[in-house]
Amino acid sequence: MSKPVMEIRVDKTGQVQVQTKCIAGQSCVAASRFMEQGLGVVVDEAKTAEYYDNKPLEQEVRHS
Amino acid sequence: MTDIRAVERACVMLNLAPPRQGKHKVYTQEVEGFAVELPDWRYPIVIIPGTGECKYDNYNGSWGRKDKLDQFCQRYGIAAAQCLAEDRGLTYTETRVEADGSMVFEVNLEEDQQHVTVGGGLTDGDSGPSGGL
Repeated sequence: MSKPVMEIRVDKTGQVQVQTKCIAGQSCVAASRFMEQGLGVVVDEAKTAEYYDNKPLEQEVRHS
Repeated sequence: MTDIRAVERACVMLNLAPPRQGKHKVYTQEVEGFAVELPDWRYPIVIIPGTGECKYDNYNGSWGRKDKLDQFCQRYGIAAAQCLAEDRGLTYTETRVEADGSMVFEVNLEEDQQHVTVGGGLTDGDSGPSGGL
């Protein structure tokens, strides 16, 4: 299994997208919480099917 | 923009003068906060401590190009995320620029003793830093 990481992507207008990778199940939500709280308001959230399967997953959260 | 450390870093990334705290003229208004001078902008952008609100007046582009502000916001986003990772004692990769202009880096969560247990388990109850001014 790959190392658990959180990818931070900032587009050309400054919109931030946080995506956790290789963390099992719903745990990724807690893992990225500090980043979400620190960066701002969550305006969109997307979870992959893996989230519901309790398998390693990717979670995506956008911030304003 | 609630983290002044990230504002300072964004200025460094773009070779701008450091933010200046005080009262600043933005057209007819006087705004108190941290002023950042963007290239070729008539008035500074002013970041209000606490709220993180950014006050500016570029007269729909006549007094300063919006892409300069976007560029600053992008660097701020990167810097703010880096500061949050550092506050938590986490390491991160070099920032890369993708074809669409997005800037990307990765934070290593394996080192996050506050939440992540290697193998996937996590504890709850986040009390991470808010990054306020």
